[in-house]
Amino acid sequence: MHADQAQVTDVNLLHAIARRDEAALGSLYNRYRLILFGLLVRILTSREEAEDILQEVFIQVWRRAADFDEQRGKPFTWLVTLARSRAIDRLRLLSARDRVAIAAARDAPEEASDAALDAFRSEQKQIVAEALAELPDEQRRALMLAYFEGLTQTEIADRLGSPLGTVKTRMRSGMIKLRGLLSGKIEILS
Amino acid sequence: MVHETCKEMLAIHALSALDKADRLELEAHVDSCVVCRLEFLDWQATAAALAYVAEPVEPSIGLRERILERIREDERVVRSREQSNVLNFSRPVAPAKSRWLALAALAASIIFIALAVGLVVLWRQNRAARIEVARISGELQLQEQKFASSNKIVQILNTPGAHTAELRGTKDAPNAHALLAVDRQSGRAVLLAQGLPPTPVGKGYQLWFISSGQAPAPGRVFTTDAAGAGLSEDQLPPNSTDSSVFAVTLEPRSGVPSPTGTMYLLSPRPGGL
Repeated sequence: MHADQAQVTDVNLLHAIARRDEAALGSLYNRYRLILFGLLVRILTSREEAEDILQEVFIQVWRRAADFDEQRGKPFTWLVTLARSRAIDRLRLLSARDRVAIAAARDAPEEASDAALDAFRSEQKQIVAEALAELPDEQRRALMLAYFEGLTQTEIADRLGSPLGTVKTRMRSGMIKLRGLLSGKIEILS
Repeated sequence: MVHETCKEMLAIHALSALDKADRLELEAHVDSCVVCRLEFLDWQATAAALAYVAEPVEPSIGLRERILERIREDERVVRSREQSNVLNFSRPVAPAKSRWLALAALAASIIFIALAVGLVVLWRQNRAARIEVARISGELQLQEQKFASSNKIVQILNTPGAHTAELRGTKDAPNAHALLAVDRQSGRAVLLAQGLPPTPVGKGYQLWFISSGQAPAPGRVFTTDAAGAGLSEDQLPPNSTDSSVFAVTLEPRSGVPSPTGTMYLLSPRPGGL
């Protein structure tokens, strides 16, 4: 599928969903179920929790499709932001003991990132993987802890045993570099 | 929080990694700063790209159907609410009914008022008609009385030996006049007067039979109607069968044996019967 055509189709699907088109919601689910569910499983380390959140996300899409403004971002960004926000909220509701158990259960993302990056099959995945690979390890680790474990800057500093100011600088520098590396290469940033 | 400080925090906020105090301050600033709002959208897109890092995972086969079933249920709830809203709007249809009832009441009021006005008009017309009927009836009665009086006079005049005498109004009743018919055989006398003044309360007009060389003999007392007309059926006094002069005076209602009041009618002396 051509990238532009896919984006237009995504927008069209959301417009159709706003018109209460059930089939359009099914199509959107088919298109993004793998990446969204993979993201949720990565964050929550639980298929059950991830399915629960994925269901909530698509119900929210059904209810709020009319609110989607294509001038404010791509459908992919909107879907990922919805899914990740709900997953982080769910994660933060869990008790500290549960979170420790989850952290222990998950594969250390920062250490497994290279293996994960190798597994990326699509061009988009490859671009992101290559961009992350170019980041200094301490920057990439801080970003991964924030993105997939929902940790705040203070929690990341505690986890890494680094000063808060240093963590802030690393994270900000990492995001600026990532944006520069992805700009013009990945459709959601075009 | 100053704008530049906020801008530096936007990338971290896109990762949802700000501590609560910083996040609240930044959100307050972004709400009022268009530049930061647009830049935040850009950072959100960069953060979303990190989702590609996660290994794609296939959810349960039944999840899609469960989601679709949930939205169908969602739609049923929405439709149910809409129907209940329709009911809520229908209830105020009661107002619509009320409007019709109000219009019906208004129409009924108008009809009632129209009927009332019609009744008043009819009542007035009826009253006027009844008055007219009463007037005509009174007039008819008067004419009947006049006819009866005339008829009585005619009956007397048809009697052999009957005579008539005309009485004229005096200075106190210049427009008055009367006709007296007398049947000397039977002694029957009928007086038909016109143009007399209205009879005062407690008073009456009394007819007098006057014979030459004798005191006036009293006749009966009569009253007049509103037009000044009066009728008296009398009987000649025993010693007055040859009376040649007749007069009418205003006397007490019970009558008097000799004239005491004002004379209103008098027959000319030479015109005796």
